[in-house]
Amino acid sequence: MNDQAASVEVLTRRFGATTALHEVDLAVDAGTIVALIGPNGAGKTTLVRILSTLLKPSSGRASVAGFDVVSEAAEVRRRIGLTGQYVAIDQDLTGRENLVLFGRLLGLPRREARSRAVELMSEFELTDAAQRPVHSYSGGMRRRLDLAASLIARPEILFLDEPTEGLDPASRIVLWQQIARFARQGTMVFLTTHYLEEADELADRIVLIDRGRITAEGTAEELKRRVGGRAVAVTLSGPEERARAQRALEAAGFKESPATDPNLLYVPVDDSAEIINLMERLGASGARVTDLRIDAPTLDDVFLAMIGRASSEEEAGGDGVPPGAPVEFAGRGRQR
Amino acid sequence: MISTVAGLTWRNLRKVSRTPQIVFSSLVQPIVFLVLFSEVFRSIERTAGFPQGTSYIDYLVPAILITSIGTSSVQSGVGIAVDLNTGIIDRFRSMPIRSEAVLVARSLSDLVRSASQSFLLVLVATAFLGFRFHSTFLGVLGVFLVVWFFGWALSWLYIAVGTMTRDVETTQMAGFIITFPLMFASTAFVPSSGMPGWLQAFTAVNPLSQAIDASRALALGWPAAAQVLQALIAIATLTLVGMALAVIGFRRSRS
Repeated sequence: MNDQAASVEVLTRRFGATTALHEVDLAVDAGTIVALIGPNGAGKTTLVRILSTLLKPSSGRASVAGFDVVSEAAEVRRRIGLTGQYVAIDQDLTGRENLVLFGRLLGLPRREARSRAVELMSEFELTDAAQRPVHSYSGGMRRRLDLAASLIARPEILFLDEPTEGLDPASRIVLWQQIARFARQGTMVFLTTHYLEEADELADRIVLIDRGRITAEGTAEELKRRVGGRAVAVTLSGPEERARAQRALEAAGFKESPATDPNLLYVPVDDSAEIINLMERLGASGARVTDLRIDAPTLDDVFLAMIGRASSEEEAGGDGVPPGAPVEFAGRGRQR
Repeated sequence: MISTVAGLTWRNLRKVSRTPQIVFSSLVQPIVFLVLFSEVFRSIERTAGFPQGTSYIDYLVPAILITSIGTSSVQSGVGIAVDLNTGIIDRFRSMPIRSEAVLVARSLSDLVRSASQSFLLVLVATAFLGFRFHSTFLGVLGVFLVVWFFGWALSWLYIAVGTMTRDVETTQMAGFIITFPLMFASTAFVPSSGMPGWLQAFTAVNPLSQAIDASRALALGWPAAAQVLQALIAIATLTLVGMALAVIGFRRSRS
C-alpha cells in the first residue's frame, strides 16, 4: 500500500454546474516525479487541491501515502508539502522569518526551526537575502523560498502546482535542478504544468488530463511512441529535384505528407530500417538534396494528438499556450 | 493549538512592527475627534441633561476609546481578506494544524495593537487635554477591559465579514457602514436625554452605546454595575455571533 504514493478512484469534483474532474482513476508509485499536464481548466489544480486535502471530492476516493484525503486528512498533511500556484509566503516577513514561522507551526522546537531555516536558505541559495523582507525578492527567489517552505518537514510527497509559472528561463532551469535533486533524495514529486518542456525534462511519468478526464499516461517516450513514428524531412534544390525524389520514394512504397514548402518532401517512417531504406532510394534517385532532417515526435505532438482541437482553441485566447509549441509545432501540424 | 495560535499571532505582530506607522496613523482620527469634539461640544457641560460637575473631556475620553477601537477593529477583517487573497492560507490548510487558529491569531494580534492604541490615547488626553479618571485603580482597569473586550468582539465580527467577502475594499466599506451610524446614534458625544424618542430607543440597544455607558461610568466613578452587565452581555453576544460567522465564512472560503 505504501508503495503507492497516491491513488485516486472514480473521483469526481463538481463546482456548481461544472464538472472539474470526471470519474478519474489514477495510481502513482512512490519515488518518482509525476507530471500532470493539460490545458488551462483541464482539472489539474483541482486534482492537486484534492490530493493535498484543500478540497473535498464530490464523489469517489483519493488517498495519499496510504491515507484517505478526507477521513485521514491530518495524516496526509503530516506527509505532504504543497507549493500552490500563488506564492504562499508572507511578503512582509523576511525569508528566514517565514521559514522559522512554518517550522514552528509544524511543531519544530525553536532552535531546530532556526537551524532548518538556515539549512534551507543555503540549499536554495537564498542565504544572502535571508534577512530581507520577501517583497524585495525577485519572482524566482520567491518561488525558491516557497519551495523551501514546503520542504521544512521533509515531506514524503511534494505537490507543485505550476511551479515555474511566470519565471524566466534561467530561473526555471535552476528550479528544475532543485526539483530533480530532492526527487533523487527520495521525495515523490507530483507537479502540474502546461509547459510540455518541463514535463519532458523532469517527469518519470506523465499524465495527460483534459476536460476533467485522464486521456493518457506513461513515460514521455511511451507517449511519444503512441502518437506515431518519426518522419524524414528532405529539402531539395528545386521543384524538379523534388519531383524526382518524390517519384523514387513513391516507387519504393513511401507516402509523403503534404508540405507547404515547395522544395520540401516530408515522409513519415515507422522505424530505423525504413529510414535507411529511404536514404538509399534517395541517393539512388540522384536528386539534389540541400538539407535533411529526422523529426522525432515531441510532447507537443502528444499533447495535440491526445487533447485535440477543442482545447487548443481554448488555449489560443488564454495564457496557457505552451511556450515549447512554437513555429515548428504549427508547421508539423499542417504537414501531417 | 496554543502554539499554533502563538506562532500566527507572532507573525501578525511582526508585520505590525515592520510598519509601525499603521499604529500611529490609526491614532490620528481619534485624536482629531478628541481635540475637536472637546472644544465644539464643551458648552454642553452647562446644559440641563448633562451630568452636573463633570467636565466634557472626562465624559468624552471613554467614548472615544470605544469608538476608536471599533474603527480599528475593521483592520481584522481587512487582514483576513488580504490573507485569503494570497496563497498563505492554503499553505496553513495543507499543514497539520487547526487552520481556524488563523482567525484566533488575527483577533488576538489586533487586540494587542488596538490595546496599545487605547493606552496611547489615554496618555495623550491626560497630557494635553486635561483628562482625568475619577475612579479607583479597579475602575480604570475596568475601563480598559471593557474597551478591549469590546474591540475583540468587533474584531470577530469583522473577521466574519472578511472571510465572507474575501475582499479588502468591501470589508472596509462594511466597516464604515457599520461604524458610523452606530457611533453618532449613540451616547458617545451627547447624553441621549436630549434626543428624539426613536433615537433614544435606538441608542439604548446600540451595543456601542452600551459599551460606552459602561466604560464612562467606570471612568467617572459612577455606579456602574448595571451598565457593565449590559455591556458584557452585548460583548458576549457579538463575540459568539462573530466567531460562528467567521468560522462558517472561513470554511466556505476553501474553494
